[in-house]
Amino acid sequence: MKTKLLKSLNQYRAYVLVVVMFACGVFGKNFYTAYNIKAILDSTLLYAFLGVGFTLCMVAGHMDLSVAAMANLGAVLTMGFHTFSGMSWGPAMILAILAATLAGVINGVMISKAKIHSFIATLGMQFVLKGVMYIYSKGAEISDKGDFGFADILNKWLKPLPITPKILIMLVIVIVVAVLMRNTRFGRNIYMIGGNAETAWLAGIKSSRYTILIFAFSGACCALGGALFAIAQSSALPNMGEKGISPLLVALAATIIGGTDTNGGRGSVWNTFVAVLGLMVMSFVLSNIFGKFEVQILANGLILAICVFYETITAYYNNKKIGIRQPLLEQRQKELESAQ
Amino acid sequence: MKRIVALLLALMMLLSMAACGGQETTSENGSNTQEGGSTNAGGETSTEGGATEEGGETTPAGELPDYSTVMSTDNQPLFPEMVIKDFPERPEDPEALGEDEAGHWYDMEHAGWDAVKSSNLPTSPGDGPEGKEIYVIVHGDHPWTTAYTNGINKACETFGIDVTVLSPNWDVNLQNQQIDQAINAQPDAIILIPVNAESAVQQFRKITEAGIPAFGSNLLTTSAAMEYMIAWTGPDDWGQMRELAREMADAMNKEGGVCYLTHNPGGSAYFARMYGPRTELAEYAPNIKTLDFQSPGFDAAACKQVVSDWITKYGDELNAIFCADDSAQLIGTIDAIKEAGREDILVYAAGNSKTGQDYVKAGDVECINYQSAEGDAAAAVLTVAKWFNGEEVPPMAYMAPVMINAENVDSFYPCQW
Repeated sequence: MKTKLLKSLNQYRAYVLVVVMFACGVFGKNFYTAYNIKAILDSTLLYAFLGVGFTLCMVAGHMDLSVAAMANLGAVLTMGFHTFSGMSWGPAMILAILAATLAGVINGVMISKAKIHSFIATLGMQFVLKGVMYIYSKGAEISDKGDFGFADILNKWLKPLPITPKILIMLVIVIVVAVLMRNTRFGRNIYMIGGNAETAWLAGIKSSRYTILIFAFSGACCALGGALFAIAQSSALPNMGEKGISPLLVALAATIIGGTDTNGGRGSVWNTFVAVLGLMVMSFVLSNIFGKFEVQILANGLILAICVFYETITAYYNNKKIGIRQPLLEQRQKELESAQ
Repeated sequence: MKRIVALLLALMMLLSMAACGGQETTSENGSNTQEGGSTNAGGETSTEGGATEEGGETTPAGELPDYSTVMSTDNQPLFPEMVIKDFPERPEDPEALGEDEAGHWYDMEHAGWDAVKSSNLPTSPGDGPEGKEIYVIVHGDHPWTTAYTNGINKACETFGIDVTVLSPNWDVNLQNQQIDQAINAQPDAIILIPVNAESAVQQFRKITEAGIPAFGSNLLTTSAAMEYMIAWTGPDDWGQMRELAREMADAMNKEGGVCYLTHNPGGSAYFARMYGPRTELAEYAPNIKTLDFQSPGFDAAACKQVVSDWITKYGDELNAIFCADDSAQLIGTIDAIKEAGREDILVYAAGNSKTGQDYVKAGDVECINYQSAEGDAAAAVLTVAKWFNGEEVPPMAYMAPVMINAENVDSFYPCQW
């Protein structure tokens, strides 16, 4: 009973985090207001997009460390195309997303064709993209020069719901990807590639093609998140996330807390979003109570450590069980052989 | 299990929304504000504390407590002398001018020259600062910020203001969250040091549209951001660098070669602390040549390497080095100079840390500029207090530049950070 409860708690830990942190709001001041809930949801925007990209790659057994750089690329290029080149927001966003998609394709080709480990390939891509952005923006912040029209639409509070259009867009993307992953052959194949590459190959799945597709999609998704984030705050900076809490680390933490297996084959985009929401609720609660970012970093780290620790312990005991059964199997085999 | 948790979550959100959604809150300063909406345009102000409202203008509630005797950690007056700058005429096309001409940087140096205040800015309650609650959101943790926070606390104590200080650790996303948190708390005013100059526009706009008076501090933002704040106070980085450059030129007899260690490329300090002195020297001492400028960051070893290379490359042509920072950059520079036996090279630096002051005292550095972190904070709080009191506050006020050299360095101890 105890184990079952623990298993259930672990399985739905992202939800548990949201509920527990939300309940902790009673210790804060003015926590349960519509404005605050809207602010919490707003703060998930960038991390949720990054989480989707990161989760997809991790489910397929890879690690995309370039997600934050892709989002930055989307932000800087969208703002740059709009401000420097005079494009309207639509084409500027599309071009920026295409650029990030191309970077994702290069990531995919390096990993699937050149057999470079995803950790190395995406780390390298991260630096390349940073260099490109610094050259493009000359290291300076790019603003929308007072063109707040689109930003106002994205930031508009859709009362009485605690939601804004930018969060609606994000929710649609998360739900669509979650349905794709769960209910389509494409999605199931990604799980199979991550879970057991050999079986996937035997089943005739072209894992190279899937890897390229996943990284391209991850790039596009992150760039869209970055573009929306930049438009909403009317500026983009090539070194976003270099100081403070890196968006990459938040996406990674949310992916792990959301239950995605670091070895691939298991995970859910929706759960990652719920984990992002949980982390943001926690951030607001702790900031409300303590007013110190150090406590938030500590809590983030602790929750991540507990999740990883639990996974490791579980894996250890599972392996131990397999180990215990092995001699029994061997004994049984011997018995059968002697009986013959 | 999943359904139960989801149901619980939805129930809690619904309950909280039902309890608080669309609820009107009245801030203590009397301005009637709707959550997330804009303030009442009529500018209804309280007449408590003796303030009266005549023809839309509020008159001061009374005298502020005497703040002239309050001292900062370094035994200087906590509330610094403030300067209101006159904006020179803007060149028709600054971009068309060369980088060594002051006009090229006009919009950066004189940000706010064309700011038109938003009509949504809240009006003063005119009932004095006593008992008011403010939020101060700084840019990130640093010894300078610790000194700034000390200044905030001392100044707020002087005027009887309750203050909450939040730090986003240089993260713009976290700063946005903290602004939301501050708006949600409905304080009487918010003082903000933005992480970035451009993203500050939306941040100040959001605060103003929530009906809360916003005040800018320290980081000079853009004209667009100035529109959404009651007032800005801070150091005159460009002005101080110009004065430091003139000191350097005089010491060099207006001849020789200079190299610059810059701040991080792209930031406002990068431009102010390199093009400030360069453009000033171009006018004041045109015979001084810029030999090179490098951006090795704030790593003492990297700075030392760059300065050693300069000494080798330029030899006697190199007469002075101008550093954008008086900590790590100075350590590297002085190390390289001493190792090469080139103590004849004059060193000037921006900043006001203990490292810099100790070098000035030891005679290794000729001059640094005084930039009181506590004073910077106190200037912002004084502006807020005056505004609460119904007094007119200038839209932009700079801290008067002060230079620290061997003659006066002793009077600036103990250092603030």
